[in-house]
Amino acid sequence: MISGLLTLILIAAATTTDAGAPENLDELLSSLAPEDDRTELHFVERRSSPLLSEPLVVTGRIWRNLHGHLVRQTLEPRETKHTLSSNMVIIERPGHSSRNYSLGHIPELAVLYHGLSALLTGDADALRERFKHELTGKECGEECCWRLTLKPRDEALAAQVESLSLSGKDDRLERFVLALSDGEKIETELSRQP
Amino acid sequence: MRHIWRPLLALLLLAGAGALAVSALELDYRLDAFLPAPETARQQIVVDQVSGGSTARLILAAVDGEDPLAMAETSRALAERWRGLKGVERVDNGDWSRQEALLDKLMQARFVLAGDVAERVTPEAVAEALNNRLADLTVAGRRAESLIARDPLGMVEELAAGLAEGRQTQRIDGAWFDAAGERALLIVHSSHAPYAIDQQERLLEALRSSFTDIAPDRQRLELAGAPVIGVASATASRSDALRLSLWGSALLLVVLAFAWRSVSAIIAGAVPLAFGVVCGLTVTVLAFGQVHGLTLAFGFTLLGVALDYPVHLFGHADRRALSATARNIRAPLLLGVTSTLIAYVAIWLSDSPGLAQLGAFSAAGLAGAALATQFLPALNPALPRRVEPTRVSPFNWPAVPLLLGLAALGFLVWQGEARWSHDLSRLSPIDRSQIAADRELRAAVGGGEVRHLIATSGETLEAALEASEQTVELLESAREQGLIEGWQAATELLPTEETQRHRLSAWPTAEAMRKRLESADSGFRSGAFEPFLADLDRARSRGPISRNFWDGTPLAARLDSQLTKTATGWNTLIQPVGLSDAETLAAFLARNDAPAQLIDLAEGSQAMVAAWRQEASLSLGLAAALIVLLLWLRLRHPVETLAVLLPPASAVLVAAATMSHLDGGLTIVHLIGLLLTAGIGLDFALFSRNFRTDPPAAARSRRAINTCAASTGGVFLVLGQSTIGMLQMLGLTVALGILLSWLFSRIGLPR
Repeated sequence: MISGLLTLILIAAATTTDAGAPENLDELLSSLAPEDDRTELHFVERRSSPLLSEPLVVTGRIWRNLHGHLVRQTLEPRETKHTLSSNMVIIERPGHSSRNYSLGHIPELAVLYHGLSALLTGDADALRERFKHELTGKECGEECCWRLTLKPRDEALAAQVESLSLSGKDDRLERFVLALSDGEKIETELSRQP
Repeated sequence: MRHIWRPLLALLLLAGAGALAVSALELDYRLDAFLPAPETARQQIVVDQVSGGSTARLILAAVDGEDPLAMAETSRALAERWRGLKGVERVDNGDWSRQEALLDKLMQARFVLAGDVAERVTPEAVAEALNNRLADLTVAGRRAESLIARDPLGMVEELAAGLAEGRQTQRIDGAWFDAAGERALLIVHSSHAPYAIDQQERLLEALRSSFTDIAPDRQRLELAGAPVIGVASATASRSDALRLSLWGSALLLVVLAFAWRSVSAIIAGAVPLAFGVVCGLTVTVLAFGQVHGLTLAFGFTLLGVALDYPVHLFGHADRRALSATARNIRAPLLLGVTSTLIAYVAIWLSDSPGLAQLGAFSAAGLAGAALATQFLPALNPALPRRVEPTRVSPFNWPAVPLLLGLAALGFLVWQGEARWSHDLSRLSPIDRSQIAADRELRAAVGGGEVRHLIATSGETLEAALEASEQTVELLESAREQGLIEGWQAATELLPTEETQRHRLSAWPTAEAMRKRLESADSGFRSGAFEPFLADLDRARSRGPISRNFWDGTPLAARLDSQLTKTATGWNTLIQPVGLSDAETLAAFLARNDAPAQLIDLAEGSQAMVAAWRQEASLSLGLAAALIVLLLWLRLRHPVETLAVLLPPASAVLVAAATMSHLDGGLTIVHLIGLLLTAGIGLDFALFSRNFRTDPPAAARSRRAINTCAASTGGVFLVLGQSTIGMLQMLGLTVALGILLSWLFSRIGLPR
């Protein structure tokens, strides 16, 4: 399921072929077809909080482990490892015993997980079933910029998460933004290099 | 038919009175009533813990299912529902997040509960803590903000983890699970006393029905713990006792119907026993004010001797009126009754309230039954219709019981201490499999070490707490040596005032703390931690917390269980967790002059039971000497006396040796069974000996004894088929004893 994310991310940094704007969801998903899942991806996440003087920048890597779980390791501000499986996140911090939580308590992770996994396995039907979607595309230079906005259909999730917008160029996913119902926005940029 | 009415009426009246008395009684099922009265402070702790200690109120719950996250959700929902139930003092499932009142108390108390204050507030430690809070933000986002603002140093989470009971458990989604992650675990503290069986039963039903209400279909609930065992054993005793007494009564009826062939004789035969029960109840209530549940059970057993009296009466009936027969058997009957009475009165004088009741009930019951037997002719029952027996025993081999008795005595002496069983769990009226299930779940919950306690005491609460703190310091180094994994001490919730003041004074002022937080340069904006600083300010101005601080929270009950006021001061208890070698730890504590003692509850109660057994043996020994003296005075001949004593004494010894070998040691229950055997066997010997010069009477006597052995022995053999260990031991001991008494009185009397 999650294997696709890495592939997707790999593709993001791969040399691209000339492509037109994706006309519909099925076309976009098939263009993001997974190929390889051995590499890791670097991310930079920004989130704001009234407790912080400026947005918190979280950097780290994402890869897929042998069990098919998505591992998100943060390096800053603290070394932490989050392992995402279908319904749970396991949090490990050096010097602390590991803890695990249901994704039910962390709706933004649940949305991210469900959105990305459907996207990455190319399962357009699963995506339609869970989310209302809106796909836009435009020419930007020689490439095509696209943006896919997903809104959860599940009422409990929708009450907490406004939307997940993924955007990229051609067959690369470059950025996603999670907008929470309380106005908080979590922005994540992806790249192959730190 | 004209013979039936009087006996029937008498029996119905007595049965009515007995049933009325039993139903009006407030039965009390405390097992500790059968323990001796505690003499030292240490014994008091043992008795308190065995009978009503907090571990005796713990209900362990496991939710079994397929999806761990759904089980964790059920665990949370259950904990919330259960906390609202009547009779629930506290529910722990590892998750404190929904106990806001408790979290607030911990927020207030953290400044006096956490040690190493100076190390927590160094610039490096503060910077490290704030970095951890940033990491919390990256996972939990806004949800974590208020908690971070109030607790930037992360002290509450640490305290909550330290206070958690199941240290060896893992958590899934915040809830306790077993090591395999297959069952969600919860601990319920019942507020009912462990022996309040009816209330505990209602509580267990309420726990189960809330589970049925909220749990998904595929999840199951398993409950264990002392209250569950108590309720199950009460139910099992009831159903097992009912089933076996029905079979026993049926057997009795068949034997007596065959022996007497008269309905009115059978009905009349039950009258002495019924009268005995009514007498026993009356005397016990008058003397003690209430009747112990186990007294009734054992008392009915000991009254089994009375079952034989009408058998002897009817067995000896000839062509004369029944009242003449009653006079005829009066001498041996009275001698037998008096001897047995001496033994029962000896038990009455025991130190343990339960045994004293048992003695009173049996002595009064026995006297009543004997009296009723003498007046049985007044009820005008029909006489048994059977041909006169003529055969008399041709065997006079006293060497058989003598040699067997000596061999048994030799075996018991050779066994030494091993002849006494020390396994107290065998005494509880519980199905063994239940105990195994309980142990398994206890181990899964972890921290379920209930056998040992570390006690400190002092003249004032402060002094006892100080001793406890010193002991905890020693335990820290014991932990480094691997002697113990952890513990729960009262001082975790209530440190001494001195320690509390010391900790408070180590905290910087709110102003200084503000500067320290800001200078950490962590990325948090200035003023982010005002709620924390306000708490700090309040804590500093409030000073130390007292015992009442926890009132209204579930932790008050825990503190209460760890602090007890005694006549001379206070006791505090430390509950060890993961204690592998108690002896080494005890030696370690002694070597370091710890102001505490390690108490082994099992060993303590064993020692008390041993002391009790000594006392009981002494009274019974005295009683035996009195019985010998009485027989000698009455029979006026040492050989006659020995002849009468040999069969029952030998039967008791052989039965004792056999049961000790089969059951791996004798218990109190065996002793009660042997006592009954002695009473019945003595009657057999007295009757056989008394009529030996009159062949027709001797033949009748022999037949009566056969009937007694078949009926009473049969009833106890049926009882011995019980699945409950205690009933099984009792039944088999008595059945074997009666068989041997019958055999020895038949072949073992001298010429």
